[in-house]
Amino acid sequence: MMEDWTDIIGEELENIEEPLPADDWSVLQQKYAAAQKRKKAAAFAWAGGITSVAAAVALVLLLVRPDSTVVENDLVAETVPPTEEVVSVDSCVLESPIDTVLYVTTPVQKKVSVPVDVVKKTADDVLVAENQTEEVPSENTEEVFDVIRDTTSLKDKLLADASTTNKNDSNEDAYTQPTGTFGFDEFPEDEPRRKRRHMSISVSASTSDSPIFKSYDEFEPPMADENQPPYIGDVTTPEDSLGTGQQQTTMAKMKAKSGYADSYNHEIPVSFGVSARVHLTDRLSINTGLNYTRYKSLRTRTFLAAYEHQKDWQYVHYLGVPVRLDFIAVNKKHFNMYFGAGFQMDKCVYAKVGDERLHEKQVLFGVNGAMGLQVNIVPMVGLYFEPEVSYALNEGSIETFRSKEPFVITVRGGLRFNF
Amino acid sequence: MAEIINIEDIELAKLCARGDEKARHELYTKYAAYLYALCIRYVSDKDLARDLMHDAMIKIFDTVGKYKPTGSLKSWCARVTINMVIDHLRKSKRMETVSLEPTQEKIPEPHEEEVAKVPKTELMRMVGRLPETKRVIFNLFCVEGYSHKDIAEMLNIKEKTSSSLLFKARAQLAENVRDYIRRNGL
Repeated sequence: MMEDWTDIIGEELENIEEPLPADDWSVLQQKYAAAQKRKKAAAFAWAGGITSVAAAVALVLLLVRPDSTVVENDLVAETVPPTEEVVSVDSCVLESPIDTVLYVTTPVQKKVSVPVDVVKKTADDVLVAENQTEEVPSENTEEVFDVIRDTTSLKDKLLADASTTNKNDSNEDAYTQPTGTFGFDEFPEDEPRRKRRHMSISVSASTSDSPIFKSYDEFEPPMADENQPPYIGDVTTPEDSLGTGQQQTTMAKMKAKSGYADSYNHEIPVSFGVSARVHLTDRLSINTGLNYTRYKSLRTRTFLAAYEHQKDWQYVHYLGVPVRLDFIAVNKKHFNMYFGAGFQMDKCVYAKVGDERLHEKQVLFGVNGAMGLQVNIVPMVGLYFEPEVSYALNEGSIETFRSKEPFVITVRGGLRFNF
Repeated sequence: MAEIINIEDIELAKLCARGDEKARHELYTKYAAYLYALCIRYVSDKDLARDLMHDAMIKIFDTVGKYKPTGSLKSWCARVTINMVIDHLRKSKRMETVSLEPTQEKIPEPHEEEVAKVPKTELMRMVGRLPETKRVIFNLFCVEGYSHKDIAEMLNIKEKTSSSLLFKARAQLAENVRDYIRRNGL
C-alpha cells in the first residue's frame, strides 16, 4: 500500500533528536531575558499610553468646563412668554408686554456669571437689549432662572430667595449677592473664595512590586547541590570536610581559579519619603522631595568547581529625588484627585553583601506616572493614597529588585500638610 | 534537582508556569533536542531551525500554564513548535506558490523493508531536500499525522492542493529513496 513506506519514514523521524551546541541553554536564557524586557517595555508603553490618554481626556474635560468665566457655547436661550402686568420687586421692574430672552449657563461648582439680556420691543419693532451680568453660586443658579421664567410669581419668589440668603449669609457656600441686574441690594456681599493652598508637605511610605512578572531566582548551574545545608555567611561545605590549614588554602585557591555564579532572591523594596508640593496654578503643582529606598536580597554564590553555596544578605540603600508635575483633576473641600508624571534620580548611599561593601557610582534614573486620591481630614491635613507606575531607565551595577524588575507598580500612602 | 528529574509532565508544567528556573531547564533538557530536530525537518537550515526552536521554547515557557494534561507535554510542545514554524514560513513567504500541474507519471515506490534499511539521518536529509511546501505537508501528514483538512486550515490552502502536493512529495521522496538504495546496494 502507498502508506506503508511513508509510515515507516514517519515513525523513523517522529522521535528523532538532534544534538544541540553546549552553550545552547545559556543562549536561550539570554533570548528569554531579552524577550521579557521587550514585553515589559511594551507593557510600559501601553500603561503610559493609557495613562496619557486618560490624563488628556481629564484635562480636556476640565478645561472646557467654565470656572469663573462664561463660555459662550454653554449659553442656552429661552424665551419667556410675555405677561400683561407690570411686576415690580423693589428696583427690579419688568415691563410688559415684552419678549424676555434669558441666557443661562450650565450650573458649575463655584460661582458663574449669568448674562441676562432683557430685550424690549419698541413700537417700531426695534429690539433694544440690555446686557447685564450676574455672579451667582451654582447651587442657586437654576433656582434664579426658575424665578425668571415664572414671571407671574416673580415677586414672591425673589423675596423668598432674599430672605433665605440673608439667613445663610454666614455659610461659606451661601448664595452671594448678584449686583446689578435685579438690584438685590439687600443680598449679602460676596464672600471671599476658598483659600488656595500654596504649598504642601507630605510624608509617605511605599512598597513596590512588578505588575506582570514575578521576581525569580536566576538559574543555578546544574552542579549546584540544593541538598547541601544552607550555611549563611560562609561556604556550605561543613568545616570538618574542608579540613584545616593547607587544605582550606587549596580550597580557596580552587574557588578563585574556578569562578562562581551568583543568583539572587529579591524582596519587595520599601520606601519612605518627604516631599513638598508647590502649587503653580489652581490645577498644576510641582512635587519634589527626598525618598529613601531599601532593597534587600539574598545572594547565593555557587562555586562552580567546589560544589558549594555561599548565601549572604545584600542590603542596598538608595536616596532619591523625585520630580513630578501634578494635575489636580478634582479639587473639592474634602477630596482631591490628581494625576502626575515625572522622573526620579536615585543614588546609592550604602550597599553591603555579607561583610563586603559594594559601590555603585551610577546615578539611576526612572520615569513614573501616578494617580493620587487625597482626603482632607481637616483643611490643613490630608491623607493620601497614590498608586504609581514607574520604569527604571538604567540598572546600575548592583543587582537589586529594581534591576530585575524595571517596570513596577508602587503603592504609596501618607499624610499631606497644606499651607 | 533530583526531585525534578522524575517529575511528571503536569508537575513540570506547573513549576515552569510558576517561573521555576530549574523546571524550565528540566523541560529544555527533556525536549529541546527533539524540538530542534522537528524544526530541522521543517526548515532544513540548522541555524534557522535553532532560532525557531528557541522562539518556541520561549513561547512554551510563557504559555505552559495553559497546558492541559489531555495529551503528553511532549506533543503539546511539538504543537507549539509546529505552529511557530508555520507562522514563520507564512510571514517570510517562504511557502512557494503552488501550481496544480497534472500529476506526473507514477514512480515505482520503495518497499517497506527497503525504507527500513535507510538510516534516519539519510531520511532526514531526503525530507530536507524536498521543496518547502511539499516538505511541510509531508511532515504534517506523514510524521505528525494531521489530516488534509487540518493541513488545509493550517496553511490556508485547499484540501485538494494539500493532497496533490503530498502526492508530489511522495513521488520525489520515493525517487530519492530508490536512488539511495540503488547507489548503496541495499
